[in-house]
Amino acid sequence: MPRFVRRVGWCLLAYAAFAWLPWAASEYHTHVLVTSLYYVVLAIGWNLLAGYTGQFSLAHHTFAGVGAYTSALLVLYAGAPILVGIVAGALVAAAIGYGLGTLCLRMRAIYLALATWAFAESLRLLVTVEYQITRGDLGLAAPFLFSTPRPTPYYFLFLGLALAAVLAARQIVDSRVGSYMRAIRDDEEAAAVMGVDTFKWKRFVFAVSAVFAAVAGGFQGHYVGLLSPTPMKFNEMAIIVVMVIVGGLRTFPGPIVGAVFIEVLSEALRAWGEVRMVLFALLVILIARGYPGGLVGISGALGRRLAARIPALAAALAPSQLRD
Amino acid sequence: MTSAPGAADGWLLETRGLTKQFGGLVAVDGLPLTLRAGEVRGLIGPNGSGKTTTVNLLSGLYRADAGEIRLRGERIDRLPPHLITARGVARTFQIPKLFGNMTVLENAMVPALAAIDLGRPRPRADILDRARRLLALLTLDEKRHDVAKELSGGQSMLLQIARGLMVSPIHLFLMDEPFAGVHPSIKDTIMETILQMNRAEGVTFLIVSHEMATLRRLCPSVSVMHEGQLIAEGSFEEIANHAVVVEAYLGR
Repeated sequence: MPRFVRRVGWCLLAYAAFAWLPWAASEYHTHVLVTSLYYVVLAIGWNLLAGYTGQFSLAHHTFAGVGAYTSALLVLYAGAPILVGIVAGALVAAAIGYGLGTLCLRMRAIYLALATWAFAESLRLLVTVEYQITRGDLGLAAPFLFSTPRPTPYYFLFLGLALAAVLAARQIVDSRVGSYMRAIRDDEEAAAVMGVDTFKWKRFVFAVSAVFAAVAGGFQGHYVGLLSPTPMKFNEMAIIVVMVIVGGLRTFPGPIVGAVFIEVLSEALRAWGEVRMVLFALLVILIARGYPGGLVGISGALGRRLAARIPALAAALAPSQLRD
Repeated sequence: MTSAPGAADGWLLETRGLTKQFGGLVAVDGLPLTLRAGEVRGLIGPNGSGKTTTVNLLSGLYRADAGEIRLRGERIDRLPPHLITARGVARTFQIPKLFGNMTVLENAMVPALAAIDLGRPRPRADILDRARRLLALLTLDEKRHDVAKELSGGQSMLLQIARGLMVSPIHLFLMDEPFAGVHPSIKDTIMETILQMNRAEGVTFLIVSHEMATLRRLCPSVSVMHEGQLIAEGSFEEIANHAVVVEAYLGR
């Protein structure tokens, strides 16, 4: 438990360290930061599934949509409070994630990717077609959480969400469940004959990662104020994959670094339009070929190279390499 | 009373009519295999005689088409692999299957951590202590913080054995070609480990191997498979003079 308490302390410190940003940044830049933090939560969730457990799902963005629509529909049609809507969205996503996990249990790599992709597209089409309920492409007006579209209060919210996601993921990864996940990723058969209930834990991670996405999506919906099926398109999944791979698949900080880096880069290059995706694709190919550890791996290697030249730096870097 | 006969006979492991087919090929054909607790048994036979399939059936990776497997009298042939492991069965693979991105120590810890999920937690200090002692026994303690995929083939085999011995309680250890392609000194380490775990903890071993000289030193008795069937069983002297075995190995 002390380790958990220490980590909560680090998160509070991090919150304090980043909380001043809205005062220094314009409203537009604050909005970019809010969106970055939204993607941080999504990317961390997907890395748990794809990076740590080896289950390459392509339906992660769909769960953000599930969270957003569940909450907005409950608030609009049933008059539920927004927080109740978001909790409901998380529960619905967990149930669907568990079910999808069950269906995909025995599938390997490419089949899992195809099945989850098919599921994602089906759900997007359902939202589009059922326009009497969802208003389809016209868009569903979700009430604002803080009764304003201005980004500053949402920044404080999403900073907290992102840090909570970091904390939760770290706790999972360092627990025995984290060992099961990595064992399943590295060799599922060996994990099974060493006593790991592989089906149970794959389903568990599916459900947990769906909850990460649904909570982020739910709050995002009540920030943007207008839901449409567009973010349930494959582009959105591709962006999450790009973020995790560029940041560093299988590394813990990878999705955090990647989400902020890609979102900020994407905004900086907004004038390029769709050409940005070409750039991101090239980036992914480059990293997959040359630096599988992503930005996190590259900076680690640079750090070690620098440390080899500057002995004082080596001492500073040493503790981080002592980990088991 | 269904589980009584096996237990009453005192068999640790007993298969009856165990059969596995792949398409038209009958890989294991009505196999009756029995092991007493505390035995070190060799399982030999020409290539393709069904030895590895038998190990895969016993560890639950394959589901039998017919027949039954009893462990200490209890049917285990319909259980998933992790529940067979929970009943005290561990195994190694001919081509080592490690958790490549985890460290040597983390690999060894997986069975103990999995046991927590199965409702049998042990104090962390105890399992860490056992892991360290097993790694030391298998000459891997110095490498405990190395990533498993960086180990050599022989070291990978040693780690598979250490990891398997972390299953607790361990009654039966199935080894698929543990001596294939490993350095003679590593072979000695494996043999010593088998004998020591057998003596000290009463672990029963079923060892699939082609290394007759090694098996002769380890196993008082061997079972011989040919085309999925058990064709002979007994001491080396007995089977060496067994006409059917000679025929299976040398052809007509």
